[in-house]
Amino acid sequence: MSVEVSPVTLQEEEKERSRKARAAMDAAAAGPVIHYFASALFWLILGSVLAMLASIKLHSPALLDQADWLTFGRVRPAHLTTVAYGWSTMACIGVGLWLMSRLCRASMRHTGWLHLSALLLNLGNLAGVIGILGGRSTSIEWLEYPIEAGCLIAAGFLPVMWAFVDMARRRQPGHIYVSQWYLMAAVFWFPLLYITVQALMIWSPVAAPAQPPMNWWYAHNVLGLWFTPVCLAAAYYLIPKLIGKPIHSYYLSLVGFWSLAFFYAWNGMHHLVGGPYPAWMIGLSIVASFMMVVPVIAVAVNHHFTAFKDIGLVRTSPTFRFVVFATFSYTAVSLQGSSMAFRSLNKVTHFTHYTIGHSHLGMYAFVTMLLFGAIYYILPRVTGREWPSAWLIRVHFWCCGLGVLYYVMALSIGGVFQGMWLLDESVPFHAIVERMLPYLQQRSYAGMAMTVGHLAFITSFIWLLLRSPQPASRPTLLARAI
Amino acid sequence: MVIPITLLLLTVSGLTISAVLAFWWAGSTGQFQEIERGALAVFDADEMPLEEEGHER
Repeated sequence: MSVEVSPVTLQEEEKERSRKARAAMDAAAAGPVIHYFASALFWLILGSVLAMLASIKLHSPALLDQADWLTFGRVRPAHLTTVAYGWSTMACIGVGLWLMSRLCRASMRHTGWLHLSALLLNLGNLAGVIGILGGRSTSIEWLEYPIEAGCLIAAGFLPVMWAFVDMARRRQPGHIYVSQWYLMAAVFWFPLLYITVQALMIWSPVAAPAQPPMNWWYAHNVLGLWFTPVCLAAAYYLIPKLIGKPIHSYYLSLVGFWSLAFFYAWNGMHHLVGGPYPAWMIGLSIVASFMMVVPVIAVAVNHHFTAFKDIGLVRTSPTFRFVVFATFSYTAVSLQGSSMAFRSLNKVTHFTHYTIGHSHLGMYAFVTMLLFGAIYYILPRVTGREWPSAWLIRVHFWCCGLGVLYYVMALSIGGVFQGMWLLDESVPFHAIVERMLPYLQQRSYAGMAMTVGHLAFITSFIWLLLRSPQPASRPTLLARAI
Repeated sequence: MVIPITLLLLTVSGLTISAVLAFWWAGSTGQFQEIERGALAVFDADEMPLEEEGHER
C-alpha cells in the first residue's frame, strides 16, 4: 500500500530536518565556542585595565610609578598584545569556528583538540603578559611576547586550522559562500604571517636594518589578513540572516575578497615612509595601500546597501546594531588608512596620536564591535539561553560606541595638531607635550566609558551562562518590534 | 639585508601566488557560474523564501 505525501508535507519535513541539523551543529560547537568566548572576555577585561593604566599614565605619570612592572613601557605593550592575541584572536576563532560549521553544514569534530588549542592560546597569552610585565618584552611592536609565548600561540593555532579544513572537506556541494572564502583564507594567512615573523625576528633574528620592514609588514597584515577577513565573514553572514534578504551584490562581494587576497599582502612598508629604505619598497606599499580602495568600496557598497534594506532593525536587534556600527567603521578606517599612506598626509600624522586613533577605529570600532555583535548572535544559539537583560546590552552598546567615537575624535584632532607642531621648528618639544595633555585626558575618559561597556557585557555573559536553558524563548530585543 | 628582504618578498609573492591558484581552482570547479545564486548559500532550506518573513532578532 503506497502512502501519498503532499509537496507541502515534504517541504515541512525538509524544513524540520534543516532546523534539527542546525541544532545538532550548534550542540557540537557549544563547548569549544564557549571556551573561546569566555577566554576572550577574560583577556578583554585584563586588556581594558591595562589600557586604562597606560592611558592615565600619559597625563598623570606619577600613577603607580613605584612598581617596575606597572611602568608605561610595560603596561602599554601588555595591553596591545592581550587585546590582539587574547581578546580579538580568541573571539575571532570562536566566531570563525561557529560560522564555518553553519556554512559548511558540517558538525565540529574532535572538539577535544579545540579545547587543547584554547588552553595553549591562554597559556601563551598568560606567559606573554607575565613576560612583558616582568621586563622580557621583545620590544618589537605587535610581537612583544617573549619566545615561549609565541611558540605556544603558534602551536595552539594548529588544531584550529585542522578544524577549519575538516569542516571545509565535509561541506555540502554547491557555491562556497563568500564568508567561507574569507574564513578559509584567514585561517591560513594568520599562522603563515605569525610563524614567518616569529622565525625571522625572534627565533633567529635577521640583521637589525631588515627588521622594521618585517615588523610593519606583519603589524599591518595581521589586521588585514586575519582580523579583517574573519570580521567581514561574520558581517556577510549576519546581515543577510538578520534581515532575511541576500546581500546586495554577490558578484561585488567576490571582487572584494579576491582583490584583498591578491593585493593586501603587499601592504605594510608605507609605515616606513621617510625611513632609510629603498624608495621602490615603500612606493610599492603605497600603491598596494591605495589599491585597497577596491575591496573596501566593494564591501562597503554590499554591506551598506544590504543593511539599508531594513535599517530600522537597529532599533530592536542587538546584533544588527553592533554590526552596522562596525561596518560603517570599516569603511571609515579603510579609507582613512589608504589616505594615510600618502606621503603628504603621512608627513603630518606619522609619530602622532592620530595613528593611535586610526588603529582604535580599526581594532575597536570595527573588529571589536563586530565581534560583540557576533557573540550576541551566536551565544544564545549554542547555549539555548537568551540574553538576560536588554538594559545591559544598551549600556554595552552606548558606552562602547560613544566611547570609541569620542576616543578617535580626540586623538585624531589632537594628532593633527601634534603633527603640525612637530613640523614647526619654532615650537619647543616640551610645549607640544603640554599642549597634548587635554587630548590625552579625553582619551582616558573615553577609555573609561568603554571599560564600563565591557563590564556590562561580561555581566550579561556570565548571567546568561548561569541561567537555565529556555528552549524556544523569545529573543531579547532592545525595543519593542513594530 | 638582502637575504631577509628577499625572504620577505618571497613570502609575499607566495601569498599572492596561492591566491591566484585558489582563484583558478574556484573557476575550474564552477564557483563563478550563476554567480548571484551564491548569495543564497547562506540560507538554509527553512529560511527561504525570504522576502516576507519576520525577523528573528
